[in-house]
Amino acid sequence: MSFFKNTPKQNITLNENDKQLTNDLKKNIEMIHEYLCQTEDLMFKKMSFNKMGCTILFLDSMVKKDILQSSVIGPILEKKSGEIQNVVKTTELKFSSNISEVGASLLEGYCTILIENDAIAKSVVVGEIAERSIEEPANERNILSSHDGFVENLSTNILLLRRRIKSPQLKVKFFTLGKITNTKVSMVFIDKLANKKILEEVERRITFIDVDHLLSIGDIEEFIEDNPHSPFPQMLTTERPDRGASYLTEGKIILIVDGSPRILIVPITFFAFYQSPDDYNSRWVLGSFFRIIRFFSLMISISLPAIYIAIISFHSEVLPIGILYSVRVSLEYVPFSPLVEAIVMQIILELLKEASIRLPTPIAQTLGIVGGLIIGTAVVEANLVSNSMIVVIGLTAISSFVAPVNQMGTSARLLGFPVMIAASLFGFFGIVLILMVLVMHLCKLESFGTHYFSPLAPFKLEDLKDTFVRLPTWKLKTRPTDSQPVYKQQQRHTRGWKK
Amino acid sequence: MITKKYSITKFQLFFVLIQSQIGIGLFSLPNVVQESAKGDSWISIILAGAGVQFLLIVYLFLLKRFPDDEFAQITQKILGRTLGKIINFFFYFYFIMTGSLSTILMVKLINLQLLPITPNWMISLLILSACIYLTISNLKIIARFFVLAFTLIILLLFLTLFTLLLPQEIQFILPVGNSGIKNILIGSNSALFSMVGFEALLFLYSFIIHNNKGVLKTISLANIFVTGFYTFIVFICLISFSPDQLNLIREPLIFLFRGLSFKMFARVDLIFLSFWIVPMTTTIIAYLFLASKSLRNEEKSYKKIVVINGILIFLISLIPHTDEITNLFTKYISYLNYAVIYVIPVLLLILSIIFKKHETGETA
Repeated sequence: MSFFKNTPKQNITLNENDKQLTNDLKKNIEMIHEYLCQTEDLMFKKMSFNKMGCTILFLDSMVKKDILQSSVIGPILEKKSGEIQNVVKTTELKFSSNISEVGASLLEGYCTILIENDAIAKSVVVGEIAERSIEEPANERNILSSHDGFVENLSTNILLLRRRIKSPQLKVKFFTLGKITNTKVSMVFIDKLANKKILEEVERRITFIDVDHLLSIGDIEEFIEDNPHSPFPQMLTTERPDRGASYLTEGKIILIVDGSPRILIVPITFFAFYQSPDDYNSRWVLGSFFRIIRFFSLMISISLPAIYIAIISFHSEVLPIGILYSVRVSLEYVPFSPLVEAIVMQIILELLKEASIRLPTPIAQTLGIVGGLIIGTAVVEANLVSNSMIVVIGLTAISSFVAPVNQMGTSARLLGFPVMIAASLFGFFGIVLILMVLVMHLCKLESFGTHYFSPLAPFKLEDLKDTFVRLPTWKLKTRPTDSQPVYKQQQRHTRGWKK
Repeated sequence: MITKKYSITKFQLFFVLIQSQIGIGLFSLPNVVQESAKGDSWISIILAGAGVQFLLIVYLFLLKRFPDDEFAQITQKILGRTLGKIINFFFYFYFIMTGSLSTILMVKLINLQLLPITPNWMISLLILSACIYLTISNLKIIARFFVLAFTLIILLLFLTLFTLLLPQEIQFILPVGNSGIKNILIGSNSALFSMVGFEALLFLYSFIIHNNKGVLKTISLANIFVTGFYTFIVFICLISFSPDQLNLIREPLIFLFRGLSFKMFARVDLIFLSFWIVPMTTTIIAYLFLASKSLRNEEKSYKKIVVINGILIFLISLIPHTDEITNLFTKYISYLNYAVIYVIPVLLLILSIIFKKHETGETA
């Protein structure tokens, strides 16, 4: 741990040897200007205070002029003498005599007051960063749950969590990562609930991050995940504060990177990717029904094209004669093997998706019509792809978008390819073999020392209550044990009124 | 009580035993047993189950004397270093051979039913690669996978219920006891070979968490499940096929499913067989694991040994899969079987009682 605490300081000393402020005002200003590489947006405002020369330094781009005027320049002009900390109106005042510290606070939107014959600089926070307002995340829409989403600002994100969990045990830990970017990263957890070992492990892995720039959550994810070569995402990223808060109360840990509206939740299980906050807001039968539909979608998106290919090329006898006949008729004039058909269709679909994802909505719609309807019909009429294959691929594509978390849906669609290839080489045997290896892989996978495929492997009956189905909320008396929380009970006699 | 790094719970032990026992043997079981026991084959299975129970208790008596030692150490403690090592090697040989036999039979079945043209070596290469991938990790993960694979056995049971819709004739098993005690016992003897896999207990015992009590209950339950399952399958086959038919059909269970058909699937047997690939593979995984554990070795070299054993099994499975050769193979394996499941454990127990050998240390 001691290694980590030294890291930020080391970062700075690498850039600049640590100089101290002197009593000479002019020299101090020069030193600071030098430290910031003579940048031209550093502004100086010369004034006098206690009948001595005094200069206010600030980065033009980082401060809000109104605040600077009303809380620093105005009061100084008015009072002209006294203790500086009593004169300026602020919530945060920093004293420092170290060039690098002064520089760092300037970069965070402080203004620094330097006074003649005083080797201590006073920094006052006057910054305000223009930020996006809180709105519903576009890729995680829900019908019944709350409609706010995380934004780019770190402190707003923590606010969104704190507003939901007003507990003194909600603890925030800050790290500064990235030698050039000095990005603030925070780790949020409930102190007496989160497992100490997992906390230590997360911290330990974060201390190993040694990069120049850290701009988004995706970077951190790749640096600290257990198995970087696995097709499955091992950390949940979400933009929904309600989701984050509910995982916090399960004893999980949240990582937030300043500048990224997505947060990371660790450790996570496979099944969390198929849960949605809406499940808990509808009646339990409905919630369970949607969950089962989602798992069904997973099966389809991984194996449906493969099963079709296997049946067509190896085991046509599995189909009853009626279905077999109609499938064979549609295949009659198609010159390609089913695998080629399937892969071509999948690629067309991916192209359409990639093309429309970044276009403005009206153009994307046009593209969807041209791509989906026109190409779809034409491809069949030209006998390039069979009708039944279009049905299969269409169903697969829809299924892969059912997963509430986009990453997992994409992973499932991607996994469809090896299964398809295996099916075209070895039929049912190939499909079963690949799926078996996938399940073996899931059994092996761990996320920060917890089991990724819990509660199926290792099998835990009590945790199944909130996995494939969602039992009534009052039945969920214990937390899921996958993140090994310190204590399990989360409810007592909620329906005690019923005699 | 030292808890080992890769230990399993009793709950997992139940599934590990079942998965090592149920596998390829299931298909030929009704055919093999009815050769001698005819309509009374189901009694033979129950008797074989009782025999297994007796053997399991013998194993437990032996193992309780050495709760913390792996089996490879136990043999050396009782018989001395050299003799113990020879016995260990014998076990190793047995596991490799049984693993190979399971692979050969499985490949043969897949070749016959699912992939008639694909070369044998390709299928066995794929199967063994998957086996090595899982076995190379550790016992804990193998146990987790085995627990999951159990769902497929449940699925089979569920599918089997549909076969009750097919025409059946209870007359085929009547009168009960017609075949005579001798023939029933001969049937039990051959049924026992479909039940092997329980000798895994010898090697797993030291890895069980809290193995001082409750193990007997777990293994008895596992044995009851396997016996019940086999009895049920044999019973269904007996009443669905006439004795003459059963004599001719090598895999009656698959033929039974062939009779079923639904609106969407015409050939349930193919679908069932595809699912059954997993339980067949778990048997091979179990033998691969046991073979790698049977020679006393360090934790570090374990991965290397698994790969070497996997390749060994693959090479053995390359022998021609004609009926004569596989039958001969099966015959020799059954001789090995007698030694491994009856003779050696009983001998070890007797010797350890005579010489009053048990684990040195706190556990007396």
